[in-house]
Amino acid sequence: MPLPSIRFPGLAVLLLPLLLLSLLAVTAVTAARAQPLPEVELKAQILWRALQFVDWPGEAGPAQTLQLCLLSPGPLAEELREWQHRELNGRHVELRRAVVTSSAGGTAGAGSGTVASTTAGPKPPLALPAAAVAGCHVAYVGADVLLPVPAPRGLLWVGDSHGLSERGVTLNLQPLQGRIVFDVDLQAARRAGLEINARLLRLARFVHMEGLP
Amino acid sequence: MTSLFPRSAVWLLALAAAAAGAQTAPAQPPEALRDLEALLGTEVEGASRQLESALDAAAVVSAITRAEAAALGHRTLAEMLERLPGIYLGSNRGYGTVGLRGFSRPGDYNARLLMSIDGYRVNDAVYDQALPDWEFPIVADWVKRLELVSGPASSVYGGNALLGVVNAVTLDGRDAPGLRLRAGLGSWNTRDAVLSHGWHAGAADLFIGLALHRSDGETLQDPALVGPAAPDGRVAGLDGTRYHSLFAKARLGGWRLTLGSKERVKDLATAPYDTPPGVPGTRFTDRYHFAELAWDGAWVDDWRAAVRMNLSRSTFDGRYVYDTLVPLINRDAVGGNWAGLDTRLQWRGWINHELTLGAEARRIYNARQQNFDEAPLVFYLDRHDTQKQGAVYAQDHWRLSERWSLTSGVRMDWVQGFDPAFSPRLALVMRPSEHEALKLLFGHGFRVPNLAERFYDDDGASQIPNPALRPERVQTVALAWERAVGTRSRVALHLYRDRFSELIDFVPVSDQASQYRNLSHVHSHGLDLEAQGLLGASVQWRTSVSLQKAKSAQGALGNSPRWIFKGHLLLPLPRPAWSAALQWQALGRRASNVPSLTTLDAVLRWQPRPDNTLALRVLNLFDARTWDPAAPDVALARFPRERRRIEIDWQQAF
Repeated sequence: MPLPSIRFPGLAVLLLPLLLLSLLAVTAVTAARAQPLPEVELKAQILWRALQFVDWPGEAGPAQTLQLCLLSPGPLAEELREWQHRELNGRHVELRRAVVTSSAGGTAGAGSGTVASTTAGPKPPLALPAAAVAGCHVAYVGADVLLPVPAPRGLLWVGDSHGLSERGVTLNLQPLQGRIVFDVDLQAARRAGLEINARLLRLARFVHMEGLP
Repeated sequence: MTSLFPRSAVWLLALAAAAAGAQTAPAQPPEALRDLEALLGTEVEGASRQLESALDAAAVVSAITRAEAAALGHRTLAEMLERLPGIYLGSNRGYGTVGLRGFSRPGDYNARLLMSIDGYRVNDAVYDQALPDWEFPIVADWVKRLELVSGPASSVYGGNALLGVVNAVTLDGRDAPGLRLRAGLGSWNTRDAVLSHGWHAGAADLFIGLALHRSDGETLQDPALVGPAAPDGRVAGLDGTRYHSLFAKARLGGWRLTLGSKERVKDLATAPYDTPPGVPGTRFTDRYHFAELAWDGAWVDDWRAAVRMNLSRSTFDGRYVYDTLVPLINRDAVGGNWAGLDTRLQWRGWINHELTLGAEARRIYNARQQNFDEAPLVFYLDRHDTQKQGAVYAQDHWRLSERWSLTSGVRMDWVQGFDPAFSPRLALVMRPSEHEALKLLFGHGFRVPNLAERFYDDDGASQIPNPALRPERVQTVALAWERAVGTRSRVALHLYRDRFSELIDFVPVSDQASQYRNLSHVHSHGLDLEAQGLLGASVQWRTSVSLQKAKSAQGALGNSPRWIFKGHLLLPLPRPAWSAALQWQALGRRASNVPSLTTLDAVLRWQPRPDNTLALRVLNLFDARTWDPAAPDVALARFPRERRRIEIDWQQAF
């Protein structure tokens, strides 16, 4: 077939990048791609790393234990039970499972109680009394909990339900396009006297803060 | 965003980031930060992400996966694409055509849709088009996911993204490890073989595929095909297809090298361009070769860069046998070589914003268009063109709140010989709940006339050139709603209104010749409703309805069905290891002699072991006689679509 002038022959087109790549192969040092993880495990791991970028107000010194309160049931709450006896930035994690029932106003108590089971169907939000979270440094809540106002000092609320960061939850984990992202309510954090490292904020999907568009 | 970043500053930053590369990491990042970044980039295991992955996208996206395509026995990307809402395919038995949003113009096979492989732009240099059937460089077996972004997207992708963008995400070695073979036989002496090999170790990954296909094609019978060699209008053995392609993709960390090469030879039974019917030797030969080297960087501080460069070559050879007193062979030799460089830089230094800046350059070397008689050698057309193109774009993804986000973008394209094209875009996405999204989209698309539309000239035998053609444009407003129902179903509704201006159309200007001309405005509007889901353990279904209306000043547009209904169902059979699949497609009337059509395809599969599958597939199960509208270059008043095709194939993984 009489094809007219060809600027570069097909073979060279294919071989040139191959050569380039083989050169790169010698020098490139890169990490393997991470294998997919179950959603709840990924959320727990992300939360664990994120908490390392939070400073609690002065009264909670490194010698103190870090009280983790699970105020709502759910897969993530179950996963967080594994944190018992781990150390976060040198602080011993102490797990407190609080009982939240759907009775008026809700009751909560620290100690060895079990997480209340959820009933099917929409429920009115549970107003959480401030006493229920006394002494907690990190409190996990579900979608059906109303946080006490004003927020207790030194308490970081975490959750994994849509819309929670609009309701004062400081760190909310969400699935997005097959990955996990987190939103930060910086205003809530500041009201509670918590310091969140700017490096963490940069990784957030959304940061709610005063005066920011 | 551009006001904050003068262009020179952008480039300085880009250079700085590129130069910094792996060296300037943030000052001793704590281990936790690196771990956290890695975890944020880790995929969630499970199926629900498939259904919800497009909820947050600032576009209307539908996709079909490898698993569905395999269960339906798909061979080509066209078959996968046809499952997606709003798409209607046709053929003139030389090339396929792709219609979307009520648009499939005569003389345009697919220049208004941008086709890509892992983001590599496949559309060629002379016709600016890419066709998904056996014309495409890769086959369905190698596609992990085929995505259709419906609506104009020139603010991101530049020219040709008028009706939408199709991207084929190909398999990595780790998706299909080891050696795999699929071999098949079918009607009209069809033979198929697809071989692949996948390998991965750590950050290195390799996928290689080889596909072979040949078919003798159907026997056509039509009064327009009557001639000395076909006295009864019956043309047998002249509709064959021969195809082979080779594809290789290697990854090493952030680097990727892709190579592809294909050739398709299509015999023509339709006697195009006044060739005598029933005379063998008239055929189209297409070749396409490409190589792409791409690098996707990780986040370094607030920056992330990506670069891709590619070299491509495509040729089209048309051979037309005229059986005059002395046999005469006329040839079209069309082709081009081109090189592309794309760079992209993302910046997240401004809280709640993610800024993307990009620049692209493309140079077409020696795009040639020749038409000549072989012996004696007489040239009617011998034209060589070069073309330079460049573009810069910026996009901001602004997270307004947990529920609201606004994506805005602008792109400026320069194509040699035309005024700069400015393409803005705006997308407001609202998430009422975790499983629901509401989107308001505004977009622009443009396409410069391709070199063939402007300059092809066979001395008036079929086409008269029009160097004065102007770019065509489209402006769109769309509203989309999408909701995941439970964890296993999804429903999506998409309403749109398109306004085309300067639409380029192939207009007959004499008995035999046509010319591409800019027409007046064309308005179209429509809706796509799509639903899909899983029932029980392995019953999977998907269906869509599209309603559309396109009209110009001259009236309703041709080859534009008012409605499309399609779907498929995958279900296990009561016997162990047996399963079945059904797919259907129905289209409204597209011309006075092209009535509405309905076809049903069925697949029966037996999978005795995970490594082996035997499948029987029947396309057009009821052997319905259906047609596609005529094209200007043939005597046929309409093209017969394929009748019943029976195929059997065996798959084996080693």
